[in-house]
Amino acid sequence: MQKVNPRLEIREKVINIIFISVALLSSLLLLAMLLFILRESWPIWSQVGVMDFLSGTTWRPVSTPPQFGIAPMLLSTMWVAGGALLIAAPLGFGCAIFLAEFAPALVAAVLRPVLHMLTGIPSVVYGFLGAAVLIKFFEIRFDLASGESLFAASLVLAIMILPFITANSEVALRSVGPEYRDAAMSLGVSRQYLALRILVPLARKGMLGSLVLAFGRAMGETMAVLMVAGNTLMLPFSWFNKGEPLPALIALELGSSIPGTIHYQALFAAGLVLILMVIAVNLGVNLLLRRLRSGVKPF
Amino acid sequence: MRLRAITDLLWKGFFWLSGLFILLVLLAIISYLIWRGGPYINSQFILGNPAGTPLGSEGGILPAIKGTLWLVLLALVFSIVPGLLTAIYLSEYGRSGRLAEMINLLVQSMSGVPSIVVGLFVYALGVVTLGWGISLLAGGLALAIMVFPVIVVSSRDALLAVDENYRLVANSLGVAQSYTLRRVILPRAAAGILAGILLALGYAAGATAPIMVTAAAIIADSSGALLEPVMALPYHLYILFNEHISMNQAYATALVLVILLLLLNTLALWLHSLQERINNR
Amino acid sequence: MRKRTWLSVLLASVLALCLLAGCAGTSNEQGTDKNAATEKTSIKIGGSSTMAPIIAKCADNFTEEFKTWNKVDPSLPEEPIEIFVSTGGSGFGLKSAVDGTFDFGMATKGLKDEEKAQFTDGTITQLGSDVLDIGVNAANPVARVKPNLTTEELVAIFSGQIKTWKELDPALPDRSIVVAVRDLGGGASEVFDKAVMKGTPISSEALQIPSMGALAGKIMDNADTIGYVSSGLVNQNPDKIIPLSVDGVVPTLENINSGAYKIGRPLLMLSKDKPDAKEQKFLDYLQSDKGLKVVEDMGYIPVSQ
Repeated sequence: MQKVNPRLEIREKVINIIFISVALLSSLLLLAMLLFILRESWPIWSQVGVMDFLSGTTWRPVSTPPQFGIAPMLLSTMWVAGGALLIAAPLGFGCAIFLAEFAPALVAAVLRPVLHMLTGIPSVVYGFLGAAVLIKFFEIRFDLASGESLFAASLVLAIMILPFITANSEVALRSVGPEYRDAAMSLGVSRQYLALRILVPLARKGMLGSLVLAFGRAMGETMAVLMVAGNTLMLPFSWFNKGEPLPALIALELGSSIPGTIHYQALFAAGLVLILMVIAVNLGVNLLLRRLRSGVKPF
Repeated sequence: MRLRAITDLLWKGFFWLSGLFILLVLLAIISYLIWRGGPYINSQFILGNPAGTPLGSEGGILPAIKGTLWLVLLALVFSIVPGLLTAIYLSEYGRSGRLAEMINLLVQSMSGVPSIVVGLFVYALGVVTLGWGISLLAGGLALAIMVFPVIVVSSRDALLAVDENYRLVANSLGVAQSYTLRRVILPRAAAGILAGILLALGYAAGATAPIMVTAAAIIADSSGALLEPVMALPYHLYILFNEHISMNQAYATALVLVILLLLLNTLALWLHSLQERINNR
Repeated sequence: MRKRTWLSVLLASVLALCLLAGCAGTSNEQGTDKNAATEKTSIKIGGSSTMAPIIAKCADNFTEEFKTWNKVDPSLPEEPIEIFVSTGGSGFGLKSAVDGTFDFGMATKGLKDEEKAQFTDGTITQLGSDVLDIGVNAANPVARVKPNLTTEELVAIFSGQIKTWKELDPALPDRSIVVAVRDLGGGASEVFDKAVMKGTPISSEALQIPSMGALAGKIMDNADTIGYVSSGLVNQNPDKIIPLSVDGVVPTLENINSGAYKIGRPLLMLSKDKPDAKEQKFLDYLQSDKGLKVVEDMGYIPVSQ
């Protein structure tokens, strides 16, 4: 038996422990944030109640008596994020398939950096352009009284999340084993058939995962929707209504609310709902990625 | 079989169009910004201070540029070490343990926390309770929390991509894990880790909501003092167009911000491809 | 492996406790520092986004003119003048003034008694008034056809009872009225409610706009919009926004000063403790001719001396 150096072992153990401690400490930050927000918003949960807060359709924080119902904001958030997915998913998948199978090397070499660069544009610039350009466009083109709408917000968000969907989906498509391509080629099947009938179903785990992550991103986006969604308080029954997604609600009213008042606490409560929604979505991805086994094994 | 040929063609067209669409979008955004903002960028804009009535409608954005640089520097200082250490744990020591899974989950969930909520947290903790006030320190901390998950995930992926054989051989030779890490794994993953750091840098530079409530001012020297407010590019842009101070200055500011971030992203991309080449050697 | 994990958890909690203790220590130090009137080197001001540009311009002028404190007053040290101005909203400004985050808080709303009580040891200084004009786009025919609105008509429009311009007056086009308001919890909204709406809720179809500047922008960009706008912004864009008169009262200087035009809000500088020497000097500057001129140049109503 070789003699093990005890000092070395101890040193290794210490290093190990340091790593674990730092990792733990940093991750506990998330819990700290959740607890903090829960504490700040506690009076709302005890006074107004979870169900009333979530399903109430009136948000009048400064009238007497104040009413705190965020159903219109929840609905707006869903419209905006869901709508963004609706627009971005086909384009994102299409582009991913394009990059994985159809793009000539030169085009791909240009397109990939372009995608990367799109992720680099900050959300405030998207919001700025949306407000400055998109709204005017809607007003003139469709002769609307005012161009803001949840649809406009969805458009802006769609462009923001598109690169993420494409990048993750392409990775998923590429990680399908080469034996499928080889088999398809030798059978004389078209690339389109290969892509749509074979690769996509095999990569659907990753592609769906990319969608869900993008959905979470779209739900939490503030700057891009603040100037474009209209921020009205009515329940938005249609995608083309104006609305006020949760992040916009918080950003809009936080500055004018006085900390310590019930209005302030209600905004923190809305923030808690938002975080929990996004975390639920992320957890959902994890469960999905574990459950959805590809099924087909290589021969 | 004619139908099959037609649908094939249509699908091919769709795929090509999706790709070209993205190209068009980026080109449209950049050229519009250059068209509207380009004429207003000159040396005075980059090197001067805001002026005019109302303040910002003329003059330059130097304090905003300096402020953004300071904020990003601070964010990196606070987040690189914890981020890297966590990533190393996840890729080298933890691997499949339950603790590692939990940490993975926590980190991923953290990346979903809306940036304005991070700002709120640091506001109540740093600005008020710890008495820092609206300060560079608070802003840097908020941004650090925001980019921490980005650094962890990208560093972890860079480390995991290093060929497993290195670890196996080192282990079989009886070499200590920390030695392998320090001398073999880290150098080989360095390019990818650096790429991730640059991405985090870019993300921090463009964030508005967290610094709005922790660090930003509409007029400040941004001289680097930790406990004082700073100006920042994204916040300046927001104020310029939100308060309708000057659309021209807004476009110019947006262009400067976008160019800065595009440069960072291109650098990160190059580092990434360098990493790929190292891995495939 | 299990023992190692628990050891790490222990280490992590110890680290965390140390951090907290250290931070608590720092904050105590800072607290005592603030109480022991050590000279602060800078003045931090924050709050209302309406007032911020005014104070920022004054701070800029003040710094340009004097550069160091001893030039303002020979008894002060020769230190460079540093004044920081942030936004964040009136509520943020008020609270931050109270908890010491800002040396001065800027608020553009009337203070309730409980709020005033928090500043009895300090100062509440009014620099002027921000009058809220009812503004419409210059291309909107209502400026010609019906330049005066009664309070009842205003309430009907802003609450959503009257939905199209035609309903207001048959000579106007049949287009929907786009109502633009500030965020409902804010100072401007409160002022408007007290002076005009008096409890009638604003239409849930009204656009809530994050700032006065953006509201003015909306009116300037969209011909069907009506909203309450800071007079300062109206005066900065005279050919793009037209103010309407209310109950026959035109928002002119005399009418505002006499109180005939009722929709306005004060521009307040709030300080929790008595301002120290440097802060007082800046406060004096703000109230002097030079400071009030900036108020006026930006289109607001300076307080009469």
